[in-house]
Amino acid sequence: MNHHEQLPAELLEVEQALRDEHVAPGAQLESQVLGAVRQALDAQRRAGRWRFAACAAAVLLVGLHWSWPLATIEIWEPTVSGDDIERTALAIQEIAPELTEADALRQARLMAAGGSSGWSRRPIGRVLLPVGNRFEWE
Amino acid sequence: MGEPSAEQLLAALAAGQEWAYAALYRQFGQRLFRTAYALLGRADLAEDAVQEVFVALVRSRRVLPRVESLSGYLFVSLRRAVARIAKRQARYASEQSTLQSRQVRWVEQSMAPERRAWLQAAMERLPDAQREVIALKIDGELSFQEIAGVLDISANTAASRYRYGLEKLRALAAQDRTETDR
Repeated sequence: MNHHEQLPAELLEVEQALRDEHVAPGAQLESQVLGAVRQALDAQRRAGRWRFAACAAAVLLVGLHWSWPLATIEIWEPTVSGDDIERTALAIQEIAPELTEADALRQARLMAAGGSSGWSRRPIGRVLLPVGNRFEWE
Repeated sequence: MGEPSAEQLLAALAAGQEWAYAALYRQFGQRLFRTAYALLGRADLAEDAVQEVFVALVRSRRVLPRVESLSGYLFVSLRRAVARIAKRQARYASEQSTLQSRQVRWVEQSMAPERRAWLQAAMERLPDAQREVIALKIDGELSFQEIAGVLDISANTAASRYRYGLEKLRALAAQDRTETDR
């Protein structure tokens, strides 16, 4: 739809008067605007670099956090064979029949590990300790 | 190198390439300035508005590839900038001469400073809705369809507001001529 065709001559005159009075921006506006654009782009790039550095640092910290326990973990190597543990478990069940087979086996494993792992050196609660060729509650 | 296509320009703007902003200024800078000037009535404020549009464009450049009409996007952004600046200026309104009190007369010669001043003052006496459509049409060089997109109205409403605005300007000029003759 062409709205211009509908305008009567006197309104076209007003329209023309408005067009004739166009103002132009100052010559400095282009450099001023493009300078502001450059600044805004630089600020974005700087912010982008900082964001990248912060993300990289965060990833590094998380990586370190997770790798430290892996780097310092003590591998538990049982000093006794599987047969010894089973024998010990049977002995435990003999003197403590209220323990299930699984509990007795766990106690036997703890005792076997006692010599090499730090956490089993300070047991919490009652444990069975070997006394000579028998076991007694601590 | 010729002018880039709209798609190339949008992609380059989104990528933050400075040449694209320079090309955009060449294409739209004057139209944006004139529209802002028609709405704000002061060249310094109009320049601020144009600068705000370009800086806002940099800040939101990632969404540009999804923009359907670059001119529509720019003029919507200009409208917001003009509204912000007008709001800031309203605080100092009491220090400024009120629009109606400007003592300027209609003169017949085109490009005479008096006529320009008269037209500016008369534009300021129009309702905002009509002034905006006239500014977007005459200074922004937008079609009624594009104006409709910018103002979120129908093209017919835009055309009607334009016509009413021109009629009012004509009536103001006639009234002023009569007063001058008396």
